[in-house]
Amino acid sequence: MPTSEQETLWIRQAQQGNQEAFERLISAYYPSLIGLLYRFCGEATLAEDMAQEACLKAWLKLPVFDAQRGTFKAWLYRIALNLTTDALRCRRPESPLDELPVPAEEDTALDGEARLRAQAVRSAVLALPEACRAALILREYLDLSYKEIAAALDLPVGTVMSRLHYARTLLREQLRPWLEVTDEQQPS
Amino acid sequence: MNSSHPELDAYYDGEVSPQQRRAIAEHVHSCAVCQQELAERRRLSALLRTVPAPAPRLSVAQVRRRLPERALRAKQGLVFAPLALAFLSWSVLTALVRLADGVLSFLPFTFHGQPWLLSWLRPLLKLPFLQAIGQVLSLRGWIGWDEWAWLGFSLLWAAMSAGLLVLEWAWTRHQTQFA
Repeated sequence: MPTSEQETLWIRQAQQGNQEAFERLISAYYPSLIGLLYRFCGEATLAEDMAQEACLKAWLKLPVFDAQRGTFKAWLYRIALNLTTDALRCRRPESPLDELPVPAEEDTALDGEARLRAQAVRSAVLALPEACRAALILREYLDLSYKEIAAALDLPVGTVMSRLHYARTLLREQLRPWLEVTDEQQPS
Repeated sequence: MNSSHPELDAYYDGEVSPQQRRAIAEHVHSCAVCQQELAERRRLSALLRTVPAPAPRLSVAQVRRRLPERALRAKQGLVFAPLALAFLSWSVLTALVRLADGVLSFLPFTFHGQPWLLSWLRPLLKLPFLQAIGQVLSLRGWIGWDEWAWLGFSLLWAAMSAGLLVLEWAWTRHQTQFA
């Protein structure tokens, strides 16, 4: 991860049209961006397409990026989440974005119980209401602070807190069998 | 403390103030239910993180090659706003004065035959410079309509200036929006 000074410098250079600086800037967040979108939509191909679109859009909009309104990371995630939400809505205009179908082609590297567990976790996350799914992913997988999540989702911090709480409550219910297994595996 | 309260999540996530942290920690230390809640949150986080995300197929360098050339565009402020605001202020002022003057002329409150409230404004509006601006704005001298046309055109100018302000504000907002 770049230091704050490095990031500020790269942003300024990229705002002036320096593609190399933009590449360095994006490199720091690209893998986590893919992870965020994959967990949000459940499709690796769509996640990658949307991550690329988000990078292009970020490049075009970078001259008007205002660091006073939030970090670059939160700004990039927000662009990507908005694009992905729009893409999912276009694809399934008649149905809500909650309870997306779970893809079956993933987890080729896993086997047995690990694969079943991954499938259960993924489907539980995808079954979360869209409103709290993004907040949960940003917190649990990307370690964003509440303030950064609020900036990424354009929400008050209090709403972020309640959405996270709701998402965790739902997940605990959905994943209770797996949590109990984890519990039993832990040394007493 | 209610064990399913969002504050326990905030505590778990390290998002509480030092004072709150101390208070919640003290409570958790003596509350078995909250201890269990926190343990469940830890287990949930651990379980969620066992699921891998796919590695990107394209490198960032490949993404960079797709970037279009972008003309350097400096942050733009409001360009037309000061002008529109000046027009708006003047138009509203002239319209208000004309309207008040017209209304007051029908009322019996006069002083030496003149409406008394705005009589001091009349000489001001008759200053050559201001009158010229007023005539240009209202097209009064050009068209030769009566004074009520002044009011109409002042309101029209006010509406157009306000429209220009709103349009520019909306455009700037659209440009500077996050996404």
